[in-house]
Amino acid sequence: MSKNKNTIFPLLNNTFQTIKKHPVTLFPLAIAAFLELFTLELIYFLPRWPLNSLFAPIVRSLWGEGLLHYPRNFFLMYKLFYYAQIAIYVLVGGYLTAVACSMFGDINADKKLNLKEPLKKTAKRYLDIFCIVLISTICFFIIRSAYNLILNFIISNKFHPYNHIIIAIKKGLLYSASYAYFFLNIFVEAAFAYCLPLIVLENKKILQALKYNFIIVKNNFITTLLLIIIPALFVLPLLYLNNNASVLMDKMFPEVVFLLLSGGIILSLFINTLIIALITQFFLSKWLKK
Amino acid sequence: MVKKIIYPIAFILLFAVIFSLLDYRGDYLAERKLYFTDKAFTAILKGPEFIPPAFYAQTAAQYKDIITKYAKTVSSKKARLLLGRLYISKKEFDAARGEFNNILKKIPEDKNYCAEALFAIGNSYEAEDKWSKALSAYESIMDDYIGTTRALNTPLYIANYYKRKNDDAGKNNYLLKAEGYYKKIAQAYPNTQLGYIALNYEITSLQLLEKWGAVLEILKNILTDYPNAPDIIRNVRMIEMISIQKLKIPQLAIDILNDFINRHPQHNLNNLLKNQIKVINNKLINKIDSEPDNNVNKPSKP
Repeated sequence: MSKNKNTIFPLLNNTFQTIKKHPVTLFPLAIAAFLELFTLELIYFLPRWPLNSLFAPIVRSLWGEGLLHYPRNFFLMYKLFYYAQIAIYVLVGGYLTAVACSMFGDINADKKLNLKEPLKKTAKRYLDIFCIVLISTICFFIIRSAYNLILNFIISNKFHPYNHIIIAIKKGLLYSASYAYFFLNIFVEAAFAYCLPLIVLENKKILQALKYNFIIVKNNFITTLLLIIIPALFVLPLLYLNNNASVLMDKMFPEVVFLLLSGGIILSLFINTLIIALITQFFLSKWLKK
Repeated sequence: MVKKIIYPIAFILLFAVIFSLLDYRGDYLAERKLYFTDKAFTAILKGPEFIPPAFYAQTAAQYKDIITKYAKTVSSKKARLLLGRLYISKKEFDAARGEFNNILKKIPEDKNYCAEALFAIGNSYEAEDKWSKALSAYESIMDDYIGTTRALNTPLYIANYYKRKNDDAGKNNYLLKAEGYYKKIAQAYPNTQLGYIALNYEITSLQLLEKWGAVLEILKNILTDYPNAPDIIRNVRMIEMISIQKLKIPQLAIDILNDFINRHPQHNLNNLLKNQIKVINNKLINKIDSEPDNNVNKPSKP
């Protein structure tokens, strides 16, 4: 742990200073953030004319009429935005993360920094990047489904239905499900952390990238996990607020959901840039040492 | 660099402004305004005597605003009803009835809303302790707005009024009247959703009158005429409960279920029904075995 501490905190400080010195590194993920904000805005206006004439029949058949009316449309907002975020991440977000990684590689190599070069260079590897992102997303859903199956069994009436301590644990597990998904996501992100740097900076093919990624992760699992968890923890307060959205909607106003989701997008822009910067810096330090 | 930040933000804001303007008189904004006005009304209802008059006036003004600005929306109809109810909470019964009569004049084609408005007129007379006028309003719903949810609820509402006043004779009289009303609707609209709902209300009336034989007869008719009704299992459970616990003749349940199986041999619930018949038979046999002097007939074979 002290070895990790000696690596992580100087790296955190160094990376933070790098981003502060080169704010242009925020731009790739800012593009993803813009797409997410625009999608969120479309979803917000979905129950209103003219978008409702196109989308209302689809929403009605999938989720019912109720979610097209104020204020229940904000519950629909969570659902739809979740699916939209996944689509944006798989199609564009992964590529833009790779662009950010390429920019940090250029900074490390003391090259002149701009946005166009990394965008062009990384575009040539789009297919490989897309495959890696798709594989990691599918892995996350498989692990989440397995977790849900175990959770459903534990909270079912077949499993110690009368023990008060077990009942309290069941309630706790149900309440903390969204936090569990958060940590599962971090775990999967750590497992595939070095794929993008290997593809973009070392020009590896998919299978080679996966192989070397797992070797690096295996040898540096705790450090990798900490590099991702420490910035990601800043999302937890927002996660808590989102879990209590229905209370907030009642106490304040329903539009608070839109504000929470928008705030999440902006926060994620900074956190994800920091994470990719940390991973890239750590990767380069380990790879260059080799 | 500043342009790269400002242009996307400007684009998102422009998009928001355009789409807000496109729908500025639409349903969504009306619903939004109604939601916040309703919250204020709910706060008023929690303690009407403590609410300052200015707050009442402000809430009433907001409802009127919805009615005028969003006249063609569903929310404007709801706002009319709620404005009337606001007047009732302020004990301004004439003003309330004025609003409800406006609904009857201006939206006569919307039967559901008219029924609700007439019901609210009845509520306003009830609040003034003018029961005969309230009853007249309620009975108008039953006659003029057959088929609306309110018309179906009203007979039981009236019977419940008598129950609250500890008037058992009045309650039972009205339950009998309600039973006749529902029977008429079920006969006028056979094999329809309305007919089915009316039969269920008839069952409720007869349950309140504790006429279990009649309830069982109607349940049997429901199973026969509506074999694919969504709550058929609930009806089967009621048949068992009434036969076994109320009438204490389990054979009746067995006969009804067997009759259903014979009429609908391909029905997907038949296995469940056969199991239920076995369970009832086993209960009967156990009861006979444990009471050797019992004169109850042995159950028939399933």
